[in-house]
Amino acid sequence: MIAVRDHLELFGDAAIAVVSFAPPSSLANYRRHLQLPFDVVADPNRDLYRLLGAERATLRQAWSAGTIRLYVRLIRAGRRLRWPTEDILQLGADAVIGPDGVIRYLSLPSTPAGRPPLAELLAALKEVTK
Amino acid sequence: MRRKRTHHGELRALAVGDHLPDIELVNHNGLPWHTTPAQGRSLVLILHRHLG
Repeated sequence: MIAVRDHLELFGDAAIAVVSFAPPSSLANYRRHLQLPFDVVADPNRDLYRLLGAERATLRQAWSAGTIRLYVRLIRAGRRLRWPTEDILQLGADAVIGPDGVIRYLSLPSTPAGRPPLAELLAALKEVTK
Repeated sequence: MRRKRTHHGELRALAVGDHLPDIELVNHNGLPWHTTPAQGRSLVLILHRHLG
């Protein structure tokens, strides 16, 4: 999400939306805090998560080596971590939907730290706009 | 519509090549937001997860 924000110009005229299962009331602060220039959308019932197949992780997946590495990196960078109040087992997803509404790309990482490389998202988007 | 099994054996509805149905959600301003791409634009969805 931060990588997308920082390379927004590469996404051309595509619409971008971050979807969260957090309560709708928390989204405006979250968007402001991360300085996201695109929509942040609430899906508290996780309808979109289910439709796209974003699963809930097992504890082993949630606490994968990649997750621990990421936390170590964040702490070393001076980030103060707070005890989570949300579902820590919910995994994310990244998708590119064509102008025709067809899913052209779908990435479903198996751990919370897993995200597709930016280049992969951009390549999918390029295919759509060919 | 194809249904595929996830890692956990659950069924999921959609895959690449499927049409994403229109779902109305609410954006950060409390306004309705739709999954249907607007004005011929592609849509990039980033489904956020909570780091465990």
